[in-house]
Amino acid sequence: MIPRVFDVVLAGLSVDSETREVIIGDLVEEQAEFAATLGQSFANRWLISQVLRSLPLLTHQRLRAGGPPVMMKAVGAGLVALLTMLVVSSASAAVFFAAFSEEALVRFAIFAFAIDLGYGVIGGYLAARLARVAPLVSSLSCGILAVVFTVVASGGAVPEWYALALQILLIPAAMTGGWLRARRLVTQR
Amino acid sequence: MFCIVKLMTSRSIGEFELAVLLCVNSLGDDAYGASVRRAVSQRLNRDCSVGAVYTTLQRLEDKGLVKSWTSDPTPVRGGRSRRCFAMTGAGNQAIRGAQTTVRRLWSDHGLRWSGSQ
Repeated sequence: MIPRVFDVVLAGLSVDSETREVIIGDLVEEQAEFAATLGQSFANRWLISQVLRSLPLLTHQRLRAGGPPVMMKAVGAGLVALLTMLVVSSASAAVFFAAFSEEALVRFAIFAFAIDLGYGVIGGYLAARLARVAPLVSSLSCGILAVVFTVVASGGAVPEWYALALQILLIPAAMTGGWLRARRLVTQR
Repeated sequence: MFCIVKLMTSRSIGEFELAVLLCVNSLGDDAYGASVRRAVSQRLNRDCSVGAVYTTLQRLEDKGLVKSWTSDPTPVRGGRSRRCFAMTGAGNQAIRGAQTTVRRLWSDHGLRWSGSQ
């Protein structure tokens, strides 16, 4: 389970498949050794600690190796994905406003909220797909840009909790989209 | 001259890089990610992460101090390959250079160098 999750995260950082294979192979080998000598629970804790401590270093290395082009691609793809989602969500909002009264829309705000989160996931996936490098970084940039947009543009008839909850959950939603893209890259290998 | 200075700067190594390089050298044919991590952890007396070891090995390879190749997949690793490492001639020079630097620093302080010659 943990090696598979780590594999997807590394794919999300554009670590090549060969490097992922040798890193995860090393972890699996050492985990098995620890499980045989010190017990399965120690081995699992060791593995989780290794993954958590390795991620920041590997992320830093990938971004540094890619340099500004990777960051520019990630932010550019995030921006294009956000603009696409804004067009789609504006169109769907126009349809809702035409079909329902404002009171009805406020009553079904939770439904509209779920749709907006869905757009967040699709936006994250789209950003990851467009950038072609570091899917998780691209979807993160899309999520951050979306939060900035909701901070700047929130208001109107929506309840107060709506904008706040959206600002909290948009980044995880966009990262979920990036995660789905990274998982697809792993299974395509 | 600037090219030489740049070359010297790019070949200079830090403490952790030196530890990894020495472990690759001492492990010989058995130097791969997990064995290097274990050896470095033992020598530095702390549990090093696989990420720290791999990023360092990658840096050393970029500097031309180690070379790597991928082995055949093994069942103990769930059918995954190993990346094996070996020190290059430049790596050997870097170790000697680091040793000379440390010796000089010790002698500058008027203390006796007790490292192996």
